[in-house]
Amino acid sequence: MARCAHTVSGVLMIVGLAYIGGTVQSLVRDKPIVLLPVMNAPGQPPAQADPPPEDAGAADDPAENTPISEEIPDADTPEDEAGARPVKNAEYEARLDAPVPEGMLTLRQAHQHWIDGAYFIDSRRRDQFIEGRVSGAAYLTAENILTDAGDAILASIPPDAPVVIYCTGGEACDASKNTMALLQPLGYTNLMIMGSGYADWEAAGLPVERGEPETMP
Amino acid sequence: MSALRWAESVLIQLPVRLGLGGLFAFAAVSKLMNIQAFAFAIKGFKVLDPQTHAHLILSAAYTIPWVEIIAAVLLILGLRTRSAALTLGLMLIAFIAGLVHVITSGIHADCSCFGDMNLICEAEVGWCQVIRNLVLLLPALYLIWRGGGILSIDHALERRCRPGDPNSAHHASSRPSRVDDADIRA
Repeated sequence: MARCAHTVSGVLMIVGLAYIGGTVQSLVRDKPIVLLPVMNAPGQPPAQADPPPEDAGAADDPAENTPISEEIPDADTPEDEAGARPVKNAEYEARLDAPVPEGMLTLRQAHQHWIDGAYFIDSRRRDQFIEGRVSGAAYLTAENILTDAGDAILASIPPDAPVVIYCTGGEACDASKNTMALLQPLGYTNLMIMGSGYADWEAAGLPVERGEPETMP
Repeated sequence: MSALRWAESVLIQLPVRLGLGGLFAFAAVSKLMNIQAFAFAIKGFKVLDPQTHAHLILSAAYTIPWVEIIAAVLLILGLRTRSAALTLGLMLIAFIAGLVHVITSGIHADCSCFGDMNLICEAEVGWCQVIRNLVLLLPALYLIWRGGGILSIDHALERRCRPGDPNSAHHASSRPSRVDDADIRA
C-alpha cells in the first residue's frame, strides 16, 4: 500500500515539475503559439468574395476525379491563357468550380492567381511536397518556418504579395489554416487558401512539379 | 536468488529502462524543439475545440514534452522507476485513446509522435500507431511490476537508507518478502 502511494506521489511530482517546466518555457519563448488564423483578415482579395458557383456535379471528391484526368489532353501544357483554355467538357468545367469551404478559392480562382503570378505555398507534409506540388510552390509549415530555409522563403515573399496556400483540400485539411496562422503575425496581408486540394489540382491537369526543389522560390 | 536478480537487472531491467527512457527522451526533445508544430498536432486530433479550449491545447503542448522528458530521464537513471514507468504508461494510454478517437472519427491527422520523424509507422494516424503504443505499454507495465532492478539509483538509495531507517514510509511495505527487498536482506 505504501509502495503504491509512493509510486502515485511520484507521478504527481513528475507532472507538477513538467507543468513548471512548460510554464517557464512559455515565459521564455518570444513567439506566441498560434492555433487558428484570423479568417476575415482585411485585405483579402475580392476573388474570395465571389461565392463559388453551385454545381450539381459531385466533383468535390478528389478520389472520384482522379481517373477522369486521363481524358483530358494537353495536361502538360496548361500555361495557356485561362480564357483561351479550350472547353474540355462539362465535367472538367465543373471540377474547376467544384464547391469549396466558405472563404476559400475554387480551383479556377486559384489557377487564375497562379497565372497572375501569385506565390503558392504547400502546407502538407514534406514527403507529399516532394512527391508532387503546384509548379513553383514553396514548402512552408510549422516544421520549417523557424529554420533558415523558412526564413529564405519568407524573405522572398513581399508582405503584400498575393499568397495562395493549399493542402490536401476540403474542410478536413487544417494545414493551410495552420500555415496562414503562422504567416499572419509576420505581416502578410494577402493570404488566400485554395479550398480544393493538391490532388484536385493535379487531376485537373494544372501545372505540377516533382522531386526536391532545386531552388526555393 | 541474488544471481537471478542480477541477471534480470542486467539483461532485462536496465535495457528496458534505457530503451523506453531513450525513446521517450527522443520524442520529448523532438517536440520541445518545435512546440508550435506540436500544438498544431494536438489541435489536429480534434479532441479539444481550438475556439473554446485553446488554453488547454496550449498547456498540453507545453506540458506533455516536459512530462515525457522528466519521466524518461528518471527511468534512465532508475530514480523513482515505478513512478516514471507509471507516468509513461498513463501517457501511452492517453495517446492510444487520442489515436482511437482520430481513427474512429475519420479525421485525417498526423501523429507527430516523434516530431516530424516517423518511427515504424507512417506519418498519418492509423492502427499502426495504436499497436506500437500497445507494444510500448508492455515494458512500462513490466517496470511498474518489477521496479528498476539492482543497477538503479532506487536500489542504491534503498541499500543506504534501510539500516538506519527501517520504518520510513518507503520501506514500510506490508509485504516484506517482496523480491525487491529480498536481496537486500540476503
